[in-house]
Amino acid sequence: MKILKLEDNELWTKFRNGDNEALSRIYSDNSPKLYRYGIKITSNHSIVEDAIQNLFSDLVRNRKNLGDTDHIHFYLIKSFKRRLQRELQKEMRYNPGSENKDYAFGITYSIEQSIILEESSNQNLSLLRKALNDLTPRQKEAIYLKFTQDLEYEQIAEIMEMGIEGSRNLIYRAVKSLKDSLRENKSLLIFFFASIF
Amino acid sequence: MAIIDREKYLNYDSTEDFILDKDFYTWVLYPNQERNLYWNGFIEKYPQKINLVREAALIIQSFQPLEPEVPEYRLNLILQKILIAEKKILSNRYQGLKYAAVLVVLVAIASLIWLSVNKKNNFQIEAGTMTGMKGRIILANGSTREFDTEKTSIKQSSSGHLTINNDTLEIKSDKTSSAINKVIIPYGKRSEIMLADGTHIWLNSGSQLSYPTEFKSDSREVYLSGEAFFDIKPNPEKPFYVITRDIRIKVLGTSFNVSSYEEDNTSQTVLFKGKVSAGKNQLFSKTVELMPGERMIYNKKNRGLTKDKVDTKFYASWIGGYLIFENEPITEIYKKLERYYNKNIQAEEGLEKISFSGKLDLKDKLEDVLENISFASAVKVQARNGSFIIKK
Repeated sequence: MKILKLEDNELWTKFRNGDNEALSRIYSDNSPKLYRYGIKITSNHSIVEDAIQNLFSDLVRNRKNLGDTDHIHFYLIKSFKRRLQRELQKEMRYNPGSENKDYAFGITYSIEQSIILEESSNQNLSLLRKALNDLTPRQKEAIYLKFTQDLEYEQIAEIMEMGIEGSRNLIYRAVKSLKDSLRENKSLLIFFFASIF
Repeated sequence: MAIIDREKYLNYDSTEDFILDKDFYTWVLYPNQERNLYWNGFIEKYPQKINLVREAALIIQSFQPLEPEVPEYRLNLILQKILIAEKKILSNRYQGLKYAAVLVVLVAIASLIWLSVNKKNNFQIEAGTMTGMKGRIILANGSTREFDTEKTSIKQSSSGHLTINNDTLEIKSDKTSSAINKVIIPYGKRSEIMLADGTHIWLNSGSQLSYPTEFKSDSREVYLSGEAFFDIKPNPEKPFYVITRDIRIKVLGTSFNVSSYEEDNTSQTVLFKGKVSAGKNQLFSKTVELMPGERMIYNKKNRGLTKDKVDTKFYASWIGGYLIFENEPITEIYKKLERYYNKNIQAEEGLEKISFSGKLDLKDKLEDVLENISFASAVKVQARNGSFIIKK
């Protein structure tokens, strides 16, 4: 079976006009991405799955009244996050103490499973690992949205409810702190050699 | 990515500039032939930038997450619930017209699309082409030639002539960079390809190979999905790379076999003569050197590389039209036969514990080949509607 790649706006229009093949397509393209994002915001996967189901049920029910979009992934992730936050607040009200922790963006970096990077020393890796874990939850989230979910600053700003400059700064500062952690190592090296000679 | 002027990047004088550049991080996260060509060219032209590039690549890779397993089954169930709920609304409106039939078809469509969409990867593989009856070559200019021979011979010359069996096509290219052709061989067919540099490649059933019509840059790169045997023309100035979705093999004049099918759990490289080094298809990944008679296995599940010694005769026999096995689980043999004959073979559970040793002649009919295995392994074969069912 061959599937032709449709542009987002075409696919979306088909979906709005009642095409269920378009719906399936949109769903299977996006639900894994939403799931991976959601599971970092809360570790409760049934809340994540409920939010996905409610999001798509509502989309199907209101398909005739939906607006245009030329970026389905962004449209869905934005709406998904709002729902997820609503669900989490509800959960907290009914079940105080359940998710009572401070907000943490629960992400595990592949570097922690020691993917072997030939050109870098172990010391570099452990410095990076530490710097990554020192990022604030919002920095982690913004980095994730940009580099893993492949979104633009403007979109990240909307999802995270902040200004565009704010999202730009958030990511820039995160990236810079990672770089600085590596440079720390080099200055250590220079210091080491300087003390020998 | 458009080949934009590299000078733009000359003004990048911090690691952050590179990390935040979309074209740059796209290359680091999803390298392909075009991007490698562009960025390796940049580093070569401006070696003063190499430290920034390396640092930036390391940082980008470091914050890649280890994603949890997505519960695909449950997500698929959610979709089906949504579709069924919608049908109910509709059927109330239309008094239950043909409602059950529509529903079944819809659910089937949903799972089909689900399956095919979720097999995606960065390595461009033409979807749904492997069971098609004809082999084809997609030329750099976008046009396609089909061929229907059991065993197709393809010869690419550096002057732009392409010979398929006995037909020669002349393809003019006015580009300075070399163009990429892609050969697709469906199940049940095979091909033998001569590249412009004299390299000789045998492509097995259900495989795809992308190669440049000319090797103009300072390395030779081809992309493989499936299985192929390579006899590489030595050229120390232009190392040859075979790149699959998971692994990357660097070659200096040699012959070896690579098996990297999407549907298999491992990717295997066996060296016959010469020397190759192989590693994961990631930037700066550690590589393993292979000596003749050694095999490197990449395990897709735990993403680990291992090496062992093998008897090479088991790994190239398919070129000559037969397969040799020694204590091979018969289910693995059925997988190979399915691809070779483009037929469906179903094996009962528990058969993976039975192994087979011996030689199978692929010129024989599949019925006879299966009969051979059954006789030696004491299993039963049933033919049903063009497929075969194997039972204990």
